[in-house]
Amino acid sequence: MSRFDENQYKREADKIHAPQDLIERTRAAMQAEEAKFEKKQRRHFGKDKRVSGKTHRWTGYVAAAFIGLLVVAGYGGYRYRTDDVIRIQELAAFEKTGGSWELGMSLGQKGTVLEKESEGEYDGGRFHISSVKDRGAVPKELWKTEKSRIKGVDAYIGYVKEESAYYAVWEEEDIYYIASAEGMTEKNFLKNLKKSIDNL
Amino acid sequence: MKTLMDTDRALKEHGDMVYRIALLHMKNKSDAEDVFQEVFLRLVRYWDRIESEEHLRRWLIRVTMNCCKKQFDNAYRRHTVPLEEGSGREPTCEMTKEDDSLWECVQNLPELYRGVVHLFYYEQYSIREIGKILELTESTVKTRLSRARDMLREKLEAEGGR
Repeated sequence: MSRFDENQYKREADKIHAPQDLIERTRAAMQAEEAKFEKKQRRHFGKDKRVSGKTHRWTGYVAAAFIGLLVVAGYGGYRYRTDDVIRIQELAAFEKTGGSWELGMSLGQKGTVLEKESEGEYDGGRFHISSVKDRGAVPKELWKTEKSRIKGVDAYIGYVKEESAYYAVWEEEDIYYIASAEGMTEKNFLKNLKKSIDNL
Repeated sequence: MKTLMDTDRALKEHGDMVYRIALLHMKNKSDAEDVFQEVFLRLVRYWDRIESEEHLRRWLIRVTMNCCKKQFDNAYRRHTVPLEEGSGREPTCEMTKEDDSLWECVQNLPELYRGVVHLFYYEQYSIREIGKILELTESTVKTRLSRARDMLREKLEAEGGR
């Protein structure tokens, strides 16, 4: 046999299945993760999502009506994603910690572990993303901005007019990501930010 | 709990796909199972980013491949086995070996090529779609596929000549 037989490859691959015990273990781990995640979300939003039985019934009717309206309106994505909430707050120029906090350069204080860093020219502007393990390495001004919700992630976004620069910070799995953009429109900054969040 | 039901459905419907890709890359069941669990735990955390059924499939494929890379790096650090990106590796497969196993041939391709071959021949994605999933240009996908075919042909000819 010297030719790659596509059908044989398919037949061989078809025989491979995830073991049942792995599926069961994963299901249990997912349930635990879901509970942990819900708890974290409740803590993050500062309110308990648990509701009484009565309220729960009404919530069900209202939600059903709302979903019905969405279906009638022809909106197909409701099952999967809630809308983004974007809030960009204008900020004064930050104090650059130890001179290292500049656009296009390593973000964070000296000695901070950078997990990942990427930079590129996008749409005529410059977009830069870094990640740090230390929350303290993120400028506190950004944490003080109003919370946005992008692609299911809580992010804090600021715009420094005198630098024509956008900044955003968000946390995932104990890693803090910092995005910055220079010479870019708000629309393009947000487009790149969403793409970055999506790709993590 | 809608989310749990939906993620559970994803586990049932796409579990085999994720496992195959993980096994193809990791070459052993133990690491493939670690990747499998990691992918579905991430799905729970990132569920609200999923926009559609097709997006879910693509997301699972991309995240599985990323988790494999991460797991491979960890294995590298653990065992300090010298591995070079894009170079051929000795098989460490724990699966039952069969003569003329095409699965094994693909599994023994350099890492760069395995995913492209599997997505094209098994998952039936087009070159363009593979490019989107793996964030590669179409020409890169074509080149990888062409090189992979050459490597597979050489390997199969060598095996056939034995």
